[in-house]
Amino acid sequence: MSAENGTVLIVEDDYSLRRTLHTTLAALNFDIGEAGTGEEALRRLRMVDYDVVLLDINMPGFDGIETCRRIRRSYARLPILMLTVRDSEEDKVQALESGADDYITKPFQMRELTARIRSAIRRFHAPGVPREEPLVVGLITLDHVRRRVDKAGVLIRLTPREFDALRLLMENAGKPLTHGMLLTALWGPEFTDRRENLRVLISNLRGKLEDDPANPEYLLTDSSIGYRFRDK
Amino acid sequence: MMVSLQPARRLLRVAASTAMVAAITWIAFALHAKAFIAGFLYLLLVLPIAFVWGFIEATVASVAAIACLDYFFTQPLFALSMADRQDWVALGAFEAVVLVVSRLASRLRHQATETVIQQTNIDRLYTMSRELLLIPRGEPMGTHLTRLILEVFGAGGAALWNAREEKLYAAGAQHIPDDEVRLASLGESREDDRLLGKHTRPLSQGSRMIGALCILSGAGNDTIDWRTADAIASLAVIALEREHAFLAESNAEASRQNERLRSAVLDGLAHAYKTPLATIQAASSGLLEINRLDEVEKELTITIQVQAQHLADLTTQTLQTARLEAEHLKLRPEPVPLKSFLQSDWSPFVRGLEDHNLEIETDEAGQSVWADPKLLQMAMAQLLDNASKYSRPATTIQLRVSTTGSETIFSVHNCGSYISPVEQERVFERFYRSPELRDAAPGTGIGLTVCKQIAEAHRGHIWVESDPLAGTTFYLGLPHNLLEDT
Repeated sequence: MSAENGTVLIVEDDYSLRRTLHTTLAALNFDIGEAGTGEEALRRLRMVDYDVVLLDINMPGFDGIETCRRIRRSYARLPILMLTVRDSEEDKVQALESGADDYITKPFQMRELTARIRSAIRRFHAPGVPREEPLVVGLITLDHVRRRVDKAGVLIRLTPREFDALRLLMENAGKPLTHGMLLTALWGPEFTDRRENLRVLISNLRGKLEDDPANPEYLLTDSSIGYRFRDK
Repeated sequence: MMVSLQPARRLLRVAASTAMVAAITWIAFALHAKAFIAGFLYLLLVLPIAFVWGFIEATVASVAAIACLDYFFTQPLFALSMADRQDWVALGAFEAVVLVVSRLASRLRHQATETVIQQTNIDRLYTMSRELLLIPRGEPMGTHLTRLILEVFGAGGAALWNAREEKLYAAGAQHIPDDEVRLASLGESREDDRLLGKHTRPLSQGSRMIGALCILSGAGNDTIDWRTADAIASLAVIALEREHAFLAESNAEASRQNERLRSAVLDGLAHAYKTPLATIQAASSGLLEINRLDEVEKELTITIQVQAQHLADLTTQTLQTARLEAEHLKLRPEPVPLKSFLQSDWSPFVRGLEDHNLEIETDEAGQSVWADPKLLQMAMAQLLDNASKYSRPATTIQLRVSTTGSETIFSVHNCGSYISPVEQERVFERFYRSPELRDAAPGTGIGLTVCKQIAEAHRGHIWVESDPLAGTTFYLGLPHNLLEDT
């Protein structure tokens, strides 16, 4: 049986939510696998090739974070979408830093969930862009080789660190990157608490990239978590 | 202190004194001593008798000595004439010496006994204070106090009236009438009955009366004098105050724990509600997303959705208040740039905002405020949400910031939704909803409580101004010096 939209593994300990997701997503032409625990999820992943994993963060046994870490160890690119609860920014940050691609907050609208699932699957199956090919999101083009960025053909002058930050964000377009991840990549692991540096950098980048820096359309803020670059 | 001797013992001493006078007479007579030598020898004997045995024995000895002096050593020999005036003078001199020496000795002995008693009492007071300190928290202090007075001071009885507890503690074989002790706590003065060895002390801390203590002294070495009674009373006051402080402290701790427990229960409940709610929302939004419903079914599903969303909001806000009320509310302040903060996209947090015209005024461009960005955002979103819910669609909501010398003031203004002065205080109370506006919009009655808690967590304040014509403005003031104090 071949699903139109892709195969989704639902890892959720609550039976009724798992069944509801299963039924709804199946009706929306996804192919579904179910697991009630992290251990079961890992077993199923060995048997079936999934396109995306929907992983609940709070589970008995080893929890979502630990499951995420173990999945990531064996499957480097498989998209993992974390189901989190509101008011737990630390959990979200921890989930992203242990390898999750994105998170969605319970309770959620099915429309939003399916949009995230589709976007994760699209990224997963997108043909790998060769490193020398320019990255394009919207009007913005980033050329690795010539270290050049332009918006609608107009050259944008960036400092080396601004360029590195933009490349990192654009390479992960659509994915939230935590403050810690960005600071580690751009300054080094000993700078993870220097959020002020990052704030200034992002604000400068917005000044150069956005039409209205106060209402950014490319470089978006994930409140209390980090930043993400617009998808597509 | 006068020591009363048994008559038999005294008689024996008198006989011994007489025998010693006889012995000296015999020695002096055998040596053919002159009268003044004999007199001197008698004096040597009378002195230690006066010193050791006291006045009566020494007087008997001196009378015997003068008689012997007169009979054996002065002319005419072997005649007890006492005719000579000199004999009377000698007797007088002897008596004077005896009196002085015996008084001196008695005083010395008295002081020695006093010292021993004082020493004993100090030791006992020390023991008692140590024992009091070792009494574990929560033990009834009154019981221990009376027990210790009996055990340590050997008192015959002790009774303590604790005015705070209105309870009498008594111990010992000798009964002390309850009323007597209770009355003593009303009186100001202490009473000492030396005959009965009874000491009554009102117990007070500063000007506050906390009870009374009555002690019946034991006998002999266990006699309790008035000074010791004073000291015991002071110890009792300290012990009762300490007990009271412990009680107050544990009451405060109990209420803190109670509050923590309440928050934990609320937190747990809110979490327990969330999973079924998430399922309901997933199912209802799933039905709409699958898009196979007819119009009636769609309408009913939307109703489920809206109400589930309302329940979810309620749960979230309950959870937030529980968190904010929990003692461990962690404020993570950082400089929040005013301009970009106010101009951030509020629509994800405020559902009804699209229907209104939001005006943002930031005169303080470039400035920032020290605050926890997440909490500040939560408070502002709540104020904006209220403004959009309670004002008519298409009206203007104004979001402003201004600074004074000491604080940064955010304000959210909307037209209408007049709040009377009586209600202006109450709107911040948990679960309070204005009777006029209750049906105007869905709400939980928690939102403004959350805002108030957030303001207070920043050492700031929140207030409202409302006018039937000008509309309603909520203000949130945050101090500039938050960082210096934390």
